[in-house]
Amino acid sequence: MKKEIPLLIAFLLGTWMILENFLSGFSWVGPMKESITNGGIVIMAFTYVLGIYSIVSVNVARIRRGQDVVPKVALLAALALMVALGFWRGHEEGTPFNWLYLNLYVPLQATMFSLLAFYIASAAFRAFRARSLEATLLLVCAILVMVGRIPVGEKLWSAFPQVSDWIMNIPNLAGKRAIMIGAALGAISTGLRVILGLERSYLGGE
Amino acid sequence: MKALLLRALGRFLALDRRWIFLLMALCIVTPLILPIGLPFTPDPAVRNLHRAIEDLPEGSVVLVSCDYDPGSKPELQPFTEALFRHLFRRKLKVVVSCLWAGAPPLVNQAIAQALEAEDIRPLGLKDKVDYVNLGYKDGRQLVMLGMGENIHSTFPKSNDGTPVSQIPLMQRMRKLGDSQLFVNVSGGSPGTKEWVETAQGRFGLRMVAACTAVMAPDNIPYYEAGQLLGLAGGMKGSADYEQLVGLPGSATRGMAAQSFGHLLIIAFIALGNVAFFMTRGRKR
Amino acid sequence: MLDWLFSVEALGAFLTCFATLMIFSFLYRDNPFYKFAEHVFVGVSTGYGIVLMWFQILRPNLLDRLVPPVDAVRQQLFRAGELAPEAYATAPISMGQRLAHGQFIYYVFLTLGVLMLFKISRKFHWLSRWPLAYVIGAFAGIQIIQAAQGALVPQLEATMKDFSGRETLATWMADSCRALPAAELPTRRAEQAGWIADWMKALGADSVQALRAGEAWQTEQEGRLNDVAGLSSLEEPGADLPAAFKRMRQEQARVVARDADFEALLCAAAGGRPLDSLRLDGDAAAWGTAPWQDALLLAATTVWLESPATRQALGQRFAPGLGLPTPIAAEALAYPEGHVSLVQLLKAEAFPQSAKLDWSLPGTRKLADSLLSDVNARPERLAEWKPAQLEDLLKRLKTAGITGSAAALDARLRVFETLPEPGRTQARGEFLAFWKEGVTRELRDLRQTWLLHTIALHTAPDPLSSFSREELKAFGQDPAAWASTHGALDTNGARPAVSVAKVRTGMAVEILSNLLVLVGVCAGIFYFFFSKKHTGALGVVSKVGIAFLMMSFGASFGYTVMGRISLAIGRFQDLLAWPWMAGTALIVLVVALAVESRRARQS
Repeated sequence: MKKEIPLLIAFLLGTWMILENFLSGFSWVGPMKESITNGGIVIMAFTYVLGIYSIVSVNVARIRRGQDVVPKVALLAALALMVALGFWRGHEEGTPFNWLYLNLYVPLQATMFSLLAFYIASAAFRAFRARSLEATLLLVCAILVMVGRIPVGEKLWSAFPQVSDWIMNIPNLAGKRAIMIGAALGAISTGLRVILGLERSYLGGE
Repeated sequence: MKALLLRALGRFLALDRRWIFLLMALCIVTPLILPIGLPFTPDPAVRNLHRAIEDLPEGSVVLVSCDYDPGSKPELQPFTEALFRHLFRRKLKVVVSCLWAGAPPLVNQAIAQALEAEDIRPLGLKDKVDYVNLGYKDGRQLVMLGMGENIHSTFPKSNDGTPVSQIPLMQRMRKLGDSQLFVNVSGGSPGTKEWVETAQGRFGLRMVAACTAVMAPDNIPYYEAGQLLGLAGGMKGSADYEQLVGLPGSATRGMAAQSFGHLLIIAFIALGNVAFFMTRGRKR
Repeated sequence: MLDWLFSVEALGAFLTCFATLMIFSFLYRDNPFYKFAEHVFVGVSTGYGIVLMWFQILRPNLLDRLVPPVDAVRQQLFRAGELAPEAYATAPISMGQRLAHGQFIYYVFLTLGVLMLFKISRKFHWLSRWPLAYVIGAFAGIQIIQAAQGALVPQLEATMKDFSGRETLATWMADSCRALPAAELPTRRAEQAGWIADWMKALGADSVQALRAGEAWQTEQEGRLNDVAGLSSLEEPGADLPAAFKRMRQEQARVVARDADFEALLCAAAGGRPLDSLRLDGDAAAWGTAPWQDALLLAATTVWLESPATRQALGQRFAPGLGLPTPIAAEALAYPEGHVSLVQLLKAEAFPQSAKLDWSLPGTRKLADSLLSDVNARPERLAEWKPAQLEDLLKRLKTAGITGSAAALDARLRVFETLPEPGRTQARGEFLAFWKEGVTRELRDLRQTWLLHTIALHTAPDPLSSFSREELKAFGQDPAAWASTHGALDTNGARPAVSVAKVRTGMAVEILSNLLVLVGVCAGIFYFFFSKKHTGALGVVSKVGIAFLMMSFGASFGYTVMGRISLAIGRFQDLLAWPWMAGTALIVLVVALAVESRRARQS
């Protein structure tokens, strides 16, 4: 009961997702496909509820223990504020919710991602060493691609963009395609393992 | 003398990284304050993307899936803005969906900006007749498969809560295959990889994509295999597209800063290696 | 200025700058302000996610299916014939009726969703495996098909390329043809097929092959022609009418709306009300003021109506509102696109010059304006108009008081009248002269470039050769940049000026590239898959594989750097959009950081 039913569900759903490709001519397949995909969308939405629970519970516990009280309270307050505004006035354009999204969410997230530009500069200085032939190959390609993609590079030598295009379309293509083919074969075998119940790590312990 | 040089190099290698950060910031800010117009050639893959849109007959429905969030805004928002201007100008009907929660307001912003442009305003385009933002749906490939079967069932309401049955434009757009072109603006996963592999071949989509620079090399095989008709990668891709459409925007303005940023990184790699090999030789 | 300082916009600008700088402060050192901003971000994004999850997924995709909204129930009842049109807007719908119209299967999904929440429970933790198995199982199946159908097969196929080099040839041919306007394809077809055969012969291919290549190309171009040109392709001289028409019918069949769908469409345009509850005829004067009427017309003209009877009936309905004679209104509605339909209508030979359009109605004026903007957007369309028709339209527009657009049209008309038929190539020169003299002055900004691009794309086989350097300069265009944007495909009319030697080199390069890719892919896969010790010949192959992989990682690294720097550029662009705000925020933050570090030192 605790293991067999989930295994059966996974088997049925997985098999269906494969079979429906071959059955699309039948009229009953369409509506069934619709229901099953919609069901998946709804169920996945509930996982979000779990995420919220874990964020709130972890932070409340921290606050109780008196660790990092100010930032944790700020986190919960920001969360509550967004939810309250969203349910009070909706999420369309011109609402306070949208205003906070544009003036807080956008700059915070965008800036966090942009920090990496600075760390990559520091790493370029300290870590990227041409210690072996392979590493040299990597660095040379990287530099050629970097130069070929900027206007200054084009100004220095008009063929730089072509060189970078060639790297992208020949060696890069070959390498990426090899990885892609390998990954596809891997994905097929792990998919089969899940459907056949050989891979059960998602069931957790016990 | 040599010992002095080596000591200087050793010190140089141990430079506080905040100096490096500062140099990087200067390299980016200076060209933004003092703009230098540097011409550049659009990438062939972006040119093909542009051509795929130009080839469409007027009135065709274009489905745009905006799957990104503010984290990749500087790279992709300029593309989205130019894209809407281009599509509206070409009198194409635009349906937008999002697989990333952060996208719908960015889409609305880009649409509003396009509608205010002086070449678009006289067209008198109407929400839900000429374009519609369907909003966000979680569920990755399940959403794609659902859209392939029946968009009305996957997106029962648009972003602003209007039932699809009341959206005139959506009466022409019942499933993915009804679109004459599919444009994916992608900031990660789910994105171009999933759309190409799950939906492009299966539903016979004519598809082009704009993605972040990080993803671009991974998407090259799709473009080279003809699964993607065009591909724009990163801010450079967006700048190329802006140039092709004749609307230089923030991506084009950022290209000078991009140049100096790259040159700085290259200089760092070179200096770091020179210093490293010289000091290493001594240790031996 | 002071007003702006105390506006919501200024507050937003300050918040944006301050939030940005708080995060950037981490580059200096880890500090409480960064930590604060980081936590606020997690809170804001989670809160944002909750709201979207509810409004965009749980409510429309689950709740509305369990308890459908009143409107949806009314529509269902109306379609089933259980609700009279006059009662549509007022019929009371009880909660019981709404529940009865719910979809049962969604209770199952609701249950599974709720079971997911048991993950939190220690005792009933295992119940959450059911919904988890649903999702994991579904994705396992999707993954298999996705990998096989979307990655494995197409990528293998693309690696096993034809080594004869014919693909290069085909690409060149397709490229050179793309530069042609669609309308010119039929007349150029025979000519092009001829030079393809020439080329093939020069390259050493036998005549049968040459013939086949020519045929294949023709078929492809025919398909393209019909795709691109649509309706107007039927009117081109020398077009293969039966074939083109058959294809078009197929395309139309795809977008044909069945009667039931059409009714739903009209109801949709009217905000969900049934068609019969709308009083169209009486509202003629108010046309254009009621938003649903506008939407209705556009919706109606967006579909191709299969049945002539429906078309006729609709024509009767719309005639008063449009100010068109009934048969013409019916005809207008018969075209798939509203805006285009009027173009077709007005230029059609069948359109009686005496027919009176009621230009005093706002709806008609609106349509005429959109029609003009259609012409404005694609000037080459003018070639499809007959001078007399344009003049007639112009007169009508003038009397209707649409002077702005009319003036522009008037100016264009003068140029058009001097054109010989078919006159497209000629038209370019005329357009140029015209734009230089008059309208250009008003359109010096972006539109100008746009117009040039449009003209270049649609009037000439080769954009570069179609404008002289002087002409481009007169438009403020950089000839070099122009060449790079549009590419120089040929300089000699339709025949691409690519020599046989150049094609040969191109083919050799292509073959070599294909070979390199093939070697790289095989070696890469080899390196991944053979766990045997890589020595001897095996070692060489796997070394080659590693080399290719390293080069691809190099490309990825280069692009990663590019992406990261772009993100930083975006942030600085935002800060520099409000330099004073950014400056203020920076000072506030620096002072706060100083105070904070002093405090930390003291304690």
